[in-house]
Amino acid sequence: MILLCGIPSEPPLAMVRRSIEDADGDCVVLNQRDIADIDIDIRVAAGRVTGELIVRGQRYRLERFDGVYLRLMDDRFLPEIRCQAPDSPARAHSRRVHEALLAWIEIAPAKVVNRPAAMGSNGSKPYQAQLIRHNGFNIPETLITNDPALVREFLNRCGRIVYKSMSGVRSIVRVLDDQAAAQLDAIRWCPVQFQRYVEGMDVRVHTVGTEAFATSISSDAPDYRYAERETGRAATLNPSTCRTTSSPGALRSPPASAWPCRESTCAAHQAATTSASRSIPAQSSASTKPRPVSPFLQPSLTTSPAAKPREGTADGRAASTRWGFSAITYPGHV
Amino acid sequence: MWLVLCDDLDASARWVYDGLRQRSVPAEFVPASVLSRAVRWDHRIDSEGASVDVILPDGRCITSAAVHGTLNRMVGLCPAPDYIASPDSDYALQELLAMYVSLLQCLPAPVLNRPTSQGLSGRVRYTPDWLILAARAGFATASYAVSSKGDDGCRDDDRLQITIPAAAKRHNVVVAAGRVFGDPLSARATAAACRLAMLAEVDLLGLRLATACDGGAWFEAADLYPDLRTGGRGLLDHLVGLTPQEPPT
Repeated sequence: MILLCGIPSEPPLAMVRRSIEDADGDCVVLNQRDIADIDIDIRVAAGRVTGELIVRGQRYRLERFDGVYLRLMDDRFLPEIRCQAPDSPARAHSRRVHEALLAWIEIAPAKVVNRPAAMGSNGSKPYQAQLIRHNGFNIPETLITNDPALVREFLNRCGRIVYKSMSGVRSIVRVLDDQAAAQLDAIRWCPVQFQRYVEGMDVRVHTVGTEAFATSISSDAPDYRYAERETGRAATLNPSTCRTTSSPGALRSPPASAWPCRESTCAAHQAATTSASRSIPAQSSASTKPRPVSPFLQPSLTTSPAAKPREGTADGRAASTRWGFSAITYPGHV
Repeated sequence: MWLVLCDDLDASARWVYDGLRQRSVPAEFVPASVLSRAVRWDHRIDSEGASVDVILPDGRCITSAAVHGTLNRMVGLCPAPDYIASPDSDYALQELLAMYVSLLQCLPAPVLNRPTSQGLSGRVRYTPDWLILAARAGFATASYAVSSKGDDGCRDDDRLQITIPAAAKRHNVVVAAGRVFGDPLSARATAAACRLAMLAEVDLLGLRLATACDGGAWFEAADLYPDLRTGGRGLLDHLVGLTPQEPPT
């Protein structure tokens, strides 16, 4: 049985659920919006974890879940929770459920896509870049600094650079143009990440187990997710144009090193082994509006099921690859 | 040079720094409040590698190329009050944290402990996670239960359903880069302690253990920020031995 965690109407979760149901698989949906009617008990003894999940009165043994697809949003921003007082019982209950759920997910013997620890590197893009480099990809030259002089020197050397958030807080990738360069003194307050702009076409790659699914992206904007807003023309996504079956090592083979890789949504070295399912294009969240305070400080997008607090993908119209898990089905079910 | 990064009130880290200096090992002590007020950050990453150069408010320059060993006991950020008061502080603090993880990652080995995205000084784990790893490492473990049904007011430690024999002898040890320091342990418990640190992917780990009358080794708790003084001089000598000898300063 497969446990799906998140908001059922969110497109990736809905697609996974549909795929499982089409394949006559069993699944249980833990709808975060029903958090008040969810409970979880965990017991660990002699190196084994057992317990029970209660969803709207239905009881499920945790040991019966052999697969988990995780797409949780930050529970603080759930519509049912965000308006609650900090010390409200509903908020406390939500926290306890999520804490217990996450504790179980980290140690559950089930196939989990993906465990929070494996997704954690999204929280620091430069840290992730070091992991990506370690796995054999080129990465764009990156400078993180609070010194405008170093940025100008970097700009002179690279010719064209972009700036973007370092953390998991989603930001719009922008080219450092003359207007932004004139405001570089603002970075003295907080270091900012700058990267060499890499020419070429974006390729987003999802790996599922030992298979890679590539999607080429044509866009005039530095950040294809916001292409329509920035340029008036939406990005064109061409999925599955070069689907390949390969061992995970193929991503680290010498030819791969010719491809600059700017980020991944799951660290490659921690990739879960699962059977292949389907490629899922990036989910755009362009309907939400960031509120830049300065050109270099871009607050988090409004969190909603369509714009969860997880990092998206592109940061420039450049030759790059990214890999990660957006959807998964399980051996024996598809 | 050894770099000692820690919270401002970390007496253990200070003890290590003093111990290194007494052994004529070049070392820099950088508490979190000093690091967070750095006047210049220069952190670079490219396909060839990564580096960091930081100029601290007291004028010291820490450059990763000069670092040959790091004791990393950073717990979190220590930003100035005006930073926290800013309307952009949530975003800025996330950015700073992301930068810290990256720059700690780029420091040359040995780094005790390397950062992870789940903790600046190694991955912070839930109690059930530690119990599973401890059992896998070869320790006997107490059972543990937690429920989301109502707040029982328990601290996490209290949720451990203690089955450790009351007469068991307690031990505090520190695992540092493959060796165990502190209270004497049996060979089996020593091997299990090293195995647990390896499974937890950390080079520095404090453990609270118990030995039952039948000699069985029980796991009680793990700590990424142990009191290093438990390890005594042996621990300091071991740290010094991890790095190439440098000219004394």
